[in-house]
Amino acid sequence: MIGPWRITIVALGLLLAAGCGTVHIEVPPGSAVTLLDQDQPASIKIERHVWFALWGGEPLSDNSTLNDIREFHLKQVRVTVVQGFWDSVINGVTCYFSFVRRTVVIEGNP
Amino acid sequence: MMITPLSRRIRPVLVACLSLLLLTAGCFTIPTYAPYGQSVRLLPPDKPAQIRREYRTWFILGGLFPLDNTMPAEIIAQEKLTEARVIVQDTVEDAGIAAALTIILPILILPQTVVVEGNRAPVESTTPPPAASPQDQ
Repeated sequence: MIGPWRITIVALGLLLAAGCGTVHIEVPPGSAVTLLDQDQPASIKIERHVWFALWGGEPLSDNSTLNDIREFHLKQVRVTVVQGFWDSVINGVTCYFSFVRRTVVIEGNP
Repeated sequence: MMITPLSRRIRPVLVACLSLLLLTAGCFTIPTYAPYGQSVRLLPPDKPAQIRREYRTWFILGGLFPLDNTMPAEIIAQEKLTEARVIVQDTVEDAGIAAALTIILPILILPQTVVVEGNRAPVESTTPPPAASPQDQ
């Protein structure tokens, strides 16, 4: 029989391990950027990790696509927010110290 | 193999840690693209949006399979947005729901909050302009 204390500890452990995080898909002010559809080809692919502290409460790296689009002068983009296998493995360790990460993939054409 | 009292104490902790690692090692993918045949401009952060849709998309077995597969493109198509910005959030509520569901039903259900904000194309007036009166002619 699993006691209420054990359930509470497991629940707290799960909550501690479940990180949060927000990624904004937006463009620089004054720019005209359109979204690519699912199958349109893209010549540029940027893949980077976004780190958060405090279980996602505080972004440690840029959590917006704005600067990537500005830097690569993209006019058409498609963005994917991923928590991949390695993100999960790394989060499985770092989340106990409040750090979590996500992967952002930006594909586009200048 | 002899099980010492210490290893007897450590073993459940190790099992619990590994189980938590497995239980929380969720993967998911949320792509943002335009619906087929629809031109959608991305909005900057400072531009106001008339429409805001916030919803949860669900994954099962640690994110291996989407349950509802509601992606931003579907919302953009439903709302007929011509301008949009998307926020992919993993909120405290999502974490709480995932933790609670994992305890109740250990099939690793993961929710993710997605916010789609945007504007529709301005509606062109279909009513004809008022006819000029005979006095005006």
